[in-house]
Parts: sequence; structure tokens; C-alpha cells
Amino acid sequence: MLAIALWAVVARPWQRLPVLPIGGDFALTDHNGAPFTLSQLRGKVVLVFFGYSLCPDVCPTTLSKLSVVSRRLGDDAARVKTVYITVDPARDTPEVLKADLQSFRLDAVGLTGSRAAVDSVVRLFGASYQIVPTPESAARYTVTHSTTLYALDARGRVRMTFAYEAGVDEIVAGIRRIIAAD
Amino acid sequence: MNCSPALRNNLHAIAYTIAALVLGATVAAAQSSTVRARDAWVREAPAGRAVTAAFLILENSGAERAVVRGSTDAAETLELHEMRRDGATMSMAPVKSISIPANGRVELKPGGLHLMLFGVKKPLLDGDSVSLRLQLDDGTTLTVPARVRRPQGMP
Repeated sequence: MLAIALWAVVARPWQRLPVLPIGGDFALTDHNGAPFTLSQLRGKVVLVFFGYSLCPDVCPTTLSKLSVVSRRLGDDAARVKTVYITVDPARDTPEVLKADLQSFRLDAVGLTGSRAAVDSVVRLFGASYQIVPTPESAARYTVTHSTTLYALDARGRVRMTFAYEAGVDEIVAGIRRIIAAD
Repeated sequence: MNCSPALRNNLHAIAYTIAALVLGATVAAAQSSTVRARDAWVREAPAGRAVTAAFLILENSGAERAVVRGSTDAAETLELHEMRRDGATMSMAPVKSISIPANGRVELKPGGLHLMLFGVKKPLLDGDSVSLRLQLDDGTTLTVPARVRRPQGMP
């Protein structure tokens, strides 16, 4: 009963799922060094987020959370792909992204590219980041960045966004709604 | 003060005793800190990852203390860092020290205060052990055994 009430509040099944005015196709390089275009993933629900590998925290936490989401989706997990786009392309080569993803049991692709290419994808999604010099640290600089998770439908349209705090239940319910709306 | 030589001697003896006790306590404090660490773990750093983070709980049974620096044989540099959330954005910055309140505790965990390991010397895999050394503001060094973990569930 409580679960149904929670689902109703979180998923709002009576509301039509809007198409959000952000996102669109883009081209970058994947964690194997191969060219990648978003249109390759037509037919899948795609979860997009921005991060960087030096951050030992937000990005692994998001990847951990999405690994749990994937397990909870069961058979539907095969219809979902996670896309992790670095906002630190100077350090995050395909090799670094590949090592990053290795720790997670998740169908995910890590993307990098030229600074200009990454910037244009950041703008496309209305995301943001800022490079912060930290001369007192071996990091030399850190990157402050937005943490929104974008959920795209099988046609590559952004249908939902999730805040960093969004739990597994909320994300699983959202993905199921997007699959059902297709 | 007008008192007998016997009383004066006694007062001297008491003063010396107090001085000795204070000195003794100071020496003891320098040797064994009131800070204990537990549940220390390091996030897995597979080949190709030269940076990772360590988390732990610090408990303090005495006066306020602070971690001022640290080191580990597993990496070239160990730094004290903090994640900060500001609305929808997240930032990471080094901090000068991590204070542990008097008779209290501080938890270093994902999304907050943590230790950063830069220049990881060899891959750190699930189940490996790492030794962390934390220097406190009272001059003592805390040696903390930490387990390498691959976090799969919710943090």
C-alpha cells in the first residue's frame, strides 16, 4: 500500500511524460578510443551524466547507484545504457575512463573528446562545469560540476532529469515510465 | 605567608608533586593520543587509475584534536579533501586540517570529508590492505590499517 502511494507520488503516472527542451545528438570518443554518436543508442533508454575521474566520490557514487538500478531493472536492464561524459578531457583519456568503468557491473560507455567537443555537449544539456586551480594540491586543479542525471527515451529525447540525491527507487520508476511511454 | 617550616616543606612537596603529575600527563599525551580510527577503507584503484580516496571514522575520547597531514606507502601523496554541494553542483577542494571534536567523532565518507591518494604506486584491488598514517596536531601519528573495497551497493 505504502509502496503504491510512494510510486504514485514519485512517478505521477497520471501526468504525460514531457519531452524536455534540452539534449540532442552529439559525437565524442568512447572509452575504447572509438568514435561515438548518441544516435548509435537509438532504441535504448540512455542515462547521461557528467563527471571526471579525479573526483573519487560523485562519479563512483553515481556509477554504484546505477549498478544497483540496473540489477533492480532485471530483464529491462538490457534496454538501458549509461553514458558517462567527462568534463576533464585533458586528464580523462579513453584509457582512464575504461579503468574507471572497470569497477562497475554496468552497461556503460565513458566519453571524452576535445575541450570544444565536450563543451558543446555540456551546453546541449544545460549542464555546467568550472575548472578550479588548486596549486596547494597534487591535483593541480579540480572541476566543480553539475550532477544532474538525464534520462533519454529510445529516440534520444530527454524525458526526465534526476537530482544527485535521487534514490534507486525513483530512478527505476522513472526508467519504467520512459519504457512504457515509448 | 607566615607559616611553620614544616608546613612550608609540605607545600613544596605538594607543588613538586603537582608539577610532576602535569609533566607526566603531558608526556603521556604525546605518546598516546586520545584519537582512534575505525572502519577505514580505500576505494579500489584498478590499473590505469592513479588517484583514489580513503574513508574512515575518527573517534576522540579527549580534548579537541585535528588531523593536519597524512601519508601512505601506497601512494606518492595523501591529502585532506572535502566535497561540497552547492545546489545541483558538486565541488572538491583540499582542506588544511580535519578537526575531531572533544569527546566526539568525525566521519570521513563519500560526499564529504575524505583522504585523497595521488600517484597510487600499484593497482589497489578489492581485498588488498593499505596502511595510512595520520599526523595529529598534538604531534602524534596514528597508523590506520585500511581495506581496499569495490563499492557496489549504495554508499
